[in-house]
Amino acid sequence: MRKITFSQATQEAMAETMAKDPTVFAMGEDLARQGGIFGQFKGLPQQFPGRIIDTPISETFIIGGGVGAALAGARPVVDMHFADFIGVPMDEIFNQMAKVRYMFGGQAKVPLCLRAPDGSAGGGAAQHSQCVEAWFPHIPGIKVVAPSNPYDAKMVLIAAIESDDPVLYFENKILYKEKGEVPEIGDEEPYTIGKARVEREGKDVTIVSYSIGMKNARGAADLLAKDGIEAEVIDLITLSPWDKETVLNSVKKTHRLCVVHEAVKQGGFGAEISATVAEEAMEYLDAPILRYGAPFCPIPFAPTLEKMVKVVPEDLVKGIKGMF
Amino acid sequence: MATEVLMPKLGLTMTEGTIEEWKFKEGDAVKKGDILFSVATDKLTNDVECEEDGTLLKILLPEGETAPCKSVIGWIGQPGEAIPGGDGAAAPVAAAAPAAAPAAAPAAAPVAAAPTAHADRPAGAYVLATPFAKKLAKEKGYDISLIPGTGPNGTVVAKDVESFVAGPKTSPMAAKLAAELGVDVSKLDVNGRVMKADVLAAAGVGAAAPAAEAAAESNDEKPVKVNPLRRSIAANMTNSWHTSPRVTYTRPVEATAMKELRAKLKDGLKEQGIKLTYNHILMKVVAKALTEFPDINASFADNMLTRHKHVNMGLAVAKGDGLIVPNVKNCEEKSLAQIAKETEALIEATRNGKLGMEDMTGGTFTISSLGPYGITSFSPIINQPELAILGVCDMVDTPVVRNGEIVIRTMMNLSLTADHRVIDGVMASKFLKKVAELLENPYMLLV
Repeated sequence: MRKITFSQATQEAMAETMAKDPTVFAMGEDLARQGGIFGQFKGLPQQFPGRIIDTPISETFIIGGGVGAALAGARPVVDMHFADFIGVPMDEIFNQMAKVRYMFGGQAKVPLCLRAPDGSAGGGAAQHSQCVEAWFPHIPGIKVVAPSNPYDAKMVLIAAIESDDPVLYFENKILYKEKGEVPEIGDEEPYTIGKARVEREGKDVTIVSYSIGMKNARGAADLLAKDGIEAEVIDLITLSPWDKETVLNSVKKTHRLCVVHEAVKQGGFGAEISATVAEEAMEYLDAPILRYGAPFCPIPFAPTLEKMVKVVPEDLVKGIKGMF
Repeated sequence: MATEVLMPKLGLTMTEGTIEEWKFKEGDAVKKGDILFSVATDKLTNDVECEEDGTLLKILLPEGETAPCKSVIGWIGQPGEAIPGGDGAAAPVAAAAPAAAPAAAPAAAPVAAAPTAHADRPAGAYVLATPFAKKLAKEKGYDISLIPGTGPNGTVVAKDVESFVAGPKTSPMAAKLAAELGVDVSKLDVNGRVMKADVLAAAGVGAAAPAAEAAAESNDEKPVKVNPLRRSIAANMTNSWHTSPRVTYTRPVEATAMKELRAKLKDGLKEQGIKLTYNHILMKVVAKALTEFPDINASFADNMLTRHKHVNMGLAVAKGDGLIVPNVKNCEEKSLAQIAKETEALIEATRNGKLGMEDMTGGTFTISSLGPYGITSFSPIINQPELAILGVCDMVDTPVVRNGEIVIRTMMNLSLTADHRVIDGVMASKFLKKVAELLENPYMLLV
């Protein structure tokens, strides 16, 4: 099967939806002239003249304008440049984008896709390295997705753009350059928002993650296999509405749960997974739930310190071995 | 960060260990590979190596005390380093014992105080158990407080519940009394629920007990804790007593031919450095007989009979004030000289404490000889999970009738204790007859 990068996969998703639907367009900072700060829009401005639009440095406008365009019948894709900047248009997100359809009694819809590159990618420091996905599953009215590989990146982005509800699409900066197998155009399976995937089956422990956290989940599962521990690895893909059933069924089988994400552990989405399992499958647990995330501190600028706040597969292996 | 020193789990059957000696003091520097302490299990004493460099910061389990496997018994770290709060420290198994012992002492004589699961925790203590373990225990109708925990800090986890063999259901009063009197309710032969009366009966305590107790008290020395070997013997014997409905069959055998055989072989074997005893001949003969009785060379559990392909012949060996049963593997295939050599090596190893775990496990039949002490009949207890044991008695010159004449012959009694669940009287008698035939005509061994 052909291998393309995560970044190329998102370009394909954009190109395919833009070719199919003339109301799809993208706007944000440095998209048209630069092709996106991480190159993720490269080629699209030439392919679709006038439909990739550079905006002033005003996140409030980017989201507000996107919501307006969506209400007016377009299918906009708006880009946050860095997920860290998402605090600026917060009212546009949780009071407008998320609530308009409800406030208008369903007479209007907001088919908007908000793309937000996140994560610590080496030297980004505290204001350009964060994972803020956990803020949004708390808000009724928006869907939240965070793919972990090129194939999902493409199919989830297509689903996000085609959704009639606003979708927040978190794309990890480190993952952009990672290659992965993606079927030929036309051979792919469409993605349904809200579905998790059991990526690897196992009987001893369930490891749940999403986005770049999946690298830890997969790495730990490989290491554990050498010691005879069979980990079941679940990629959530969607954080809201998240696939409880898949996680609960797995825990009922393995009786152990480990949750991991790059975001700060305290108040992270792992807490929601952990709490849900404790509420709904407590009796199936044969060990306390393990939860991994960044320590409660800003991402440091110094490379040595930045490395220290990252979770590595060995952390999970140590904890999981302690469950037996 | 300070590192825990854990009570090791040396072998599948080990559940707890007793510190025999700490080789270092608190504050001593230790290196990876140093012998840190020695631990006595049911059967053996082992040296345990230190797993890292550092300082022995704290000893939590003093010498002579016992703790469950995997519990924290000490800490190693950097000098002056704080150790994590003392959480998870091993509570010595004996913690609950002092309270119970005075009450138990006068009454306990007829009752074997076998170590039981719940003795690992102080009575009434909150049982650390995972939710799934609790759910499983509830489904199976087990009392979780009776299940030994092997998870972190002794937490009961699912596999502990799955491997637990439940005793009968017990009323709360009976459970309380049982703990006080040292009665193991799982060994009581009771239909349905164990009640207070059953426990009292088992402990041999009647209505008049309190008065007798007061009178007896002054006559008692301070109760002493028996060593792990004695505890293991007590547990195993009690278990066997309650497991196997047994019958002992005794028959005389003429030992003349056996004596002759030994007399003819022993000097030749001595030149090869091999000491030949009657036990060796008996082992050879019994192994041969067992090949014709596969249901005796077997074990029985949960209505399943497991026949063993080879005869691993156990021999009861006295060790100090205890008893150990090492076994000679594949005995039926071995020559008399081989059996003699291996048996003597095992006896030597037993007495030196050098016996390996593999020498003591996997036995399929046992011989116990009390002949040298003038015993002429006894009923040995089966070494579980075996199905029979042969007691060998003294050789006595006896007047017997041969061809209508009274003559003197060397006679010896064989006492076979067999588990009637599997071995009926006829099978046991036929087996003893076969052994007798082989002993009286050892040339049959060549056939």
